[in-house]
Amino acid sequence: MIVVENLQKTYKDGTKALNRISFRVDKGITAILGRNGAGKTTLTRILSTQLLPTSGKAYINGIDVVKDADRIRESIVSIPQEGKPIGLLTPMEHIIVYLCARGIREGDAKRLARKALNDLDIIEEADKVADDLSGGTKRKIFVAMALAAGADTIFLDEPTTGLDPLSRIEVWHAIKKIKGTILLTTHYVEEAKALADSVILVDSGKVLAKGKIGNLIRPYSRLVRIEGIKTGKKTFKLGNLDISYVSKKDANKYIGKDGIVIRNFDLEDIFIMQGAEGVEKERNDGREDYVD
Amino acid sequence: MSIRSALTFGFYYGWSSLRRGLVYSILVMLMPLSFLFIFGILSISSATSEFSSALLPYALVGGFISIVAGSSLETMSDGAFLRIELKFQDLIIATKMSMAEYMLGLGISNAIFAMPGIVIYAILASFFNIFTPITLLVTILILVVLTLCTTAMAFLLSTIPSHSRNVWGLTSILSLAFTIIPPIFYPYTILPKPVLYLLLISPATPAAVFMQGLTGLAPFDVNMLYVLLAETVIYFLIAKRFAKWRQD
Repeated sequence: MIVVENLQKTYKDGTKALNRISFRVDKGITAILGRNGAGKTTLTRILSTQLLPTSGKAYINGIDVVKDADRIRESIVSIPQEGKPIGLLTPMEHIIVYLCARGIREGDAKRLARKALNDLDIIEEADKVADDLSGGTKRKIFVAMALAAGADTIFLDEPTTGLDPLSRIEVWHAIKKIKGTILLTTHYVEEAKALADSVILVDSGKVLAKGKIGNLIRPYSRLVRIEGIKTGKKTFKLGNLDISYVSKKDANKYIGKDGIVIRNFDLEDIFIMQGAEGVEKERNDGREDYVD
Repeated sequence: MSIRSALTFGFYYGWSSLRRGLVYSILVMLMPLSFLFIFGILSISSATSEFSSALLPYALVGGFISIVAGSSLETMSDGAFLRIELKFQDLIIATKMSMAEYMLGLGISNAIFAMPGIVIYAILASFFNIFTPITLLVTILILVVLTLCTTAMAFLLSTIPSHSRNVWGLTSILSLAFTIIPPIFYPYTILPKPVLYLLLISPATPAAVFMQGLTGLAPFDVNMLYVLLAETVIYFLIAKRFAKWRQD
């Protein structure tokens, strides 16, 4: 279990990456969903003992991540954002080196590495150098590290960024094989929906909303998003794009009109409704009208 | 400190990379071999023969220092590459492996890259009867200490730049300052004392001065051994204190 209380991080250049963020994460996969610069990586780095917070507290299974980093490191795996394998090493060698860094003996590391590679169906590529592997397989090496380590808490920072759609599906399938408490950061709504039991929406270092995906969307289930026109009681501007939220019934009159796009309400709409950075509220008189 | 995890990392990263690509290994022996070649060629010509013949043994002894210091300095590029481009250091920070173990692992991997060059120079040195069994043993110890000292300094510097390009430039500058300017390929006795003391900032200097004395090429100065050992401790402590690991 991960508990975060009023965690704040201000970098030396004055950038406020986390602004008194608080949440609790239980066993299973939780996605931290947010845009680039929302504070996701800062949060992951603090929780995985790579970075010290400016203030606030964070605990993993009751252990303080700041005061007791060495104990935390025994029970976590942290796969960094844009982590790449070492070109001249094989997947097998990567996992052995990683497990030995975790204090596991080389003989046991070899056995665990082979099992993890087998579980992820990349055993045939165990002895190929990483430079010769596909993008998806390269990312799977990191998932295999997490799987082989058998850690209790796993941090995956944007594990599929830059991958093609099919490779992403492969990596998602691999991630699902990891057990424990998994905190996954992503800026892809579909990734959060494909993998996570619950989500935490963050923007500008703050929590905008948190909970099960269905529970977050349900209050707005009668709404659709209309792009390209200002209409109704809830209108926003994202850059030059006019966005309006109307009931499905009211949206019918815009079907087929030039320059207008109608979409079902989804997680990204919560960012817009909650006034994420870069979204200009024009009219927004509460969501209560639309709650089922 | 767990030497085992450092050895495993050093072995896999060094040995596996070496057997799949010898380029780095050739690179670190290129400069000393070039000096040896130039002195060798010049020693044939009657106009420069006396001067160059006298420098040949220095180039041979200095070659060991140059290869070890040069390959250890590569820890800077390596460490920065693993940290900035591959995020490998981030992966390791969140494990039980300490900064000192990681640094040592990088040092071991680069020492493996120095091995082919060391073997070539050992063969050349045997032709010229440079070493006795005792001086050979002491030389090996000096090279081990030099590896540790240079690695600590290089690792510290690897954690500072935020862009890889800056690291490449810094490595080239330090390679020049630490392995060409010091008295590695020429007798330390020709240097004015203040310059020699200034050059002691490079661990290659006390190592080279000690080796020149050990092999009878120049007056023996045992104090240089103490300087090298003191520098190793100091650079290690500075790296431990100031290298960026868990960040503020």
